[in-house]
Amino acid sequence: MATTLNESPPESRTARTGSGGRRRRRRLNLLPYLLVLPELVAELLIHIIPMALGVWIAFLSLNQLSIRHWISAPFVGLTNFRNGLDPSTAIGSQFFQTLGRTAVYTVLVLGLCWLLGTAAAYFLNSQFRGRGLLRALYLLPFALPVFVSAIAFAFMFNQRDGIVNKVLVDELHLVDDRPFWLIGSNAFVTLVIASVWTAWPFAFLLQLAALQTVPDEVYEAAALDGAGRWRQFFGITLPMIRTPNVVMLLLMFLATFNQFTVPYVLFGVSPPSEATLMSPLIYQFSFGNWNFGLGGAVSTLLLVLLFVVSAVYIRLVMPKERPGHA
Amino acid sequence: MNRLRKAVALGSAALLACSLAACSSSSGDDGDVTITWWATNLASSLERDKEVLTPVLQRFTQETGIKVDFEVNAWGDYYNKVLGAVSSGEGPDVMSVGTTWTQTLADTGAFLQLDDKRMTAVGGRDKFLGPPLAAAGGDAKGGPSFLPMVSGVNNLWYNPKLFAAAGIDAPPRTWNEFVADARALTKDTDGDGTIDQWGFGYPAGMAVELSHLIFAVGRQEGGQMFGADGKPTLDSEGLVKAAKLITDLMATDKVLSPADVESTATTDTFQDFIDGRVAMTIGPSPVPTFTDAKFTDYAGADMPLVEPLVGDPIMTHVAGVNIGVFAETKHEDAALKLMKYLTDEAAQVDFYKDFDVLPTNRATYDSPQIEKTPLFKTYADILAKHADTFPLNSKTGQAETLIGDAMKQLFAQAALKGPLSEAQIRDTLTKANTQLVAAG
Repeated sequence: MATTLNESPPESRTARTGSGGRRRRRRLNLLPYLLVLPELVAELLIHIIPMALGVWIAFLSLNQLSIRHWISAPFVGLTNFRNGLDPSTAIGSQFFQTLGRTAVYTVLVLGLCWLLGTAAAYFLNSQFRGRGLLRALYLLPFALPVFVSAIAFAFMFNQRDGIVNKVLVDELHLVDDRPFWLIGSNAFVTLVIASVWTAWPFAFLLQLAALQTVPDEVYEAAALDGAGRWRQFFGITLPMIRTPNVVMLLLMFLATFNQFTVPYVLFGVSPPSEATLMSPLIYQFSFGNWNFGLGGAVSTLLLVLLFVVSAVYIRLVMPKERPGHA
Repeated sequence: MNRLRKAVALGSAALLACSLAACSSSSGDDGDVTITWWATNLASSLERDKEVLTPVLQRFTQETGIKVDFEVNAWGDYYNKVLGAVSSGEGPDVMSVGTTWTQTLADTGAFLQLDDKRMTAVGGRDKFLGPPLAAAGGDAKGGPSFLPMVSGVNNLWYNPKLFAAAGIDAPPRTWNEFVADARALTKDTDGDGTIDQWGFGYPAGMAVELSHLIFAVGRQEGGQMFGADGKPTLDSEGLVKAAKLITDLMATDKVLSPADVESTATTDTFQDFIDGRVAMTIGPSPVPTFTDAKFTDYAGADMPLVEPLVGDPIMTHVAGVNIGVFAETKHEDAALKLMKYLTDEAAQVDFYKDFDVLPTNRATYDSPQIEKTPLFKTYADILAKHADTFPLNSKTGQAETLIGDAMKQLFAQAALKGPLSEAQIRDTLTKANTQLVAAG
């Protein structure tokens, strides 16, 4: 074998090697596509096609009668969008009220989760006995399925037998009449509390990971310069964990704005109007009133809105890549 | 590239072979037919339903050689499941559906219409009682899309022991008597300053039940959910007055606990009834639940009528379960045989005994196996004289949800703010009506 190779002229060997290399390159070039193919097909089937269908449905008069032959349901142009966006109609005013409420809900949940998560992570980033146990304890709500937590909240906030009213009314005597927590304006408070409970460990986890990237030497140097704990937090910690914070807030914003499970489990198919969020409203339009066209239109509006907000956020807030960094 | 092409070709061939195999297995073998049936919950639990239905269907298999693969569905999200089958064309051969969905589902065209030939195959029109067959769309042109499997009514349920303790010797016949009795039965029995026995209990957070209650009281007040031209009239005067009468039970008469606005299932009320927390309720039969709990202090009676009676003496819609053959079935004959069997006398007797529902088969009423208990007589009398079909309109399914949700909101307002004005009620019902119109 070695003799044969040695006898071959260098040019032809080069040529063979070159041709073989091209073949190898071609094979190597195909492999990534083949590996990505199943994912691409799954992505198309699970996300892209249903999303495109959802947008298409928004232009159809699709209800329970036309659903059997939904492909040939009547095309109604922008009618569903007009119904959803006309504030003078019952549907339009419901849409705008719900949009505003969802924005307030998102700000509150996001703000509280960030505060709790950051405070807990900052606290648990220092060395002390029992730190591991507390970390595990704080992550417990994140390990529980959301619907299990929401069911527990529904029981706790039950007007007649819930633990919250037992404590407030029977034990502490803070109020005379048992308040309702699952109907009326209190329902919004309950929704925020339950949502924060289920979501804040995510903020805690990411903040903890981010804090561990800040070197101790920086704090030591700051301490030598006379910076106190608050000054260190605002002058060192926050700027140094800015990048993971920005990403975390975007992820949590999208998840919170689209919140469905918590209100659905707390209030059922038709939540009180004071606590109706966008996703449950879309569900109500689509599967409560079986007006799939209107549900599709509102979904599309929500998709566009979230896309625009995310794009603006990324453009304005997300740190830019520095030259020389891949 | 050639290898890739070969791989793609092989993969495609395998996929094609699989899909062909799947198609051929779904088309079935005439010698050993297995059909599928989506049944619905009628007993105190889904497990109990299965216990009852299994021997009934084994008998069917022995008689016909046809096997039935069935599943029992809870009512909660069942309508969406049925609509999913309608939209995809993938569903069982036979489906049970609620009587109030009949017209809407029939109008989807997803169920076989029972023309004369098919109707003969299931035993003919005369086999069935008039009101249940009408509620199954019996008068539809070209034949109904469903058959009535079992019937039910909503009526008054009361605790005779609590009545006797309050000095009341008979159930109320009119709405005024009902309110007066409920007031007498609402009391603080242990003297701790809070009411622990309510005259009336109701799942005021359960939209479907609320839609049925306002249908009945609304008819008594002369209200209809749809006008003669078929257009929605959820905010008609009769329905506004009915909603006022019903919500006043909580807000003005104070015989219904405000806590009931968080009650979202009839079983919640049944449990309160068993616990002695409520003395009366109105609704479908709680007998299977009471029997399971070995609770015997109950009796059934007619639902009270409003005074003066403006509309019709309707106490309930024709409740129950209808069954239909899914249009995509490949086993039409076997499916029709199952429909016939389920509505024949033997199965109807079983359903009456185990589910406390009324037979839809006319001859079964004369069967010696049907014990003519006072409850049976009450049900049969209400079904014959005081029941009407829930509106047979394409939009009934949506109307049921929307008016039920509106009633739920009104009860929430009544619990939080007290008595509601007719204007407030009209406003809420008008919003529901607007949504129904917009639903297209």
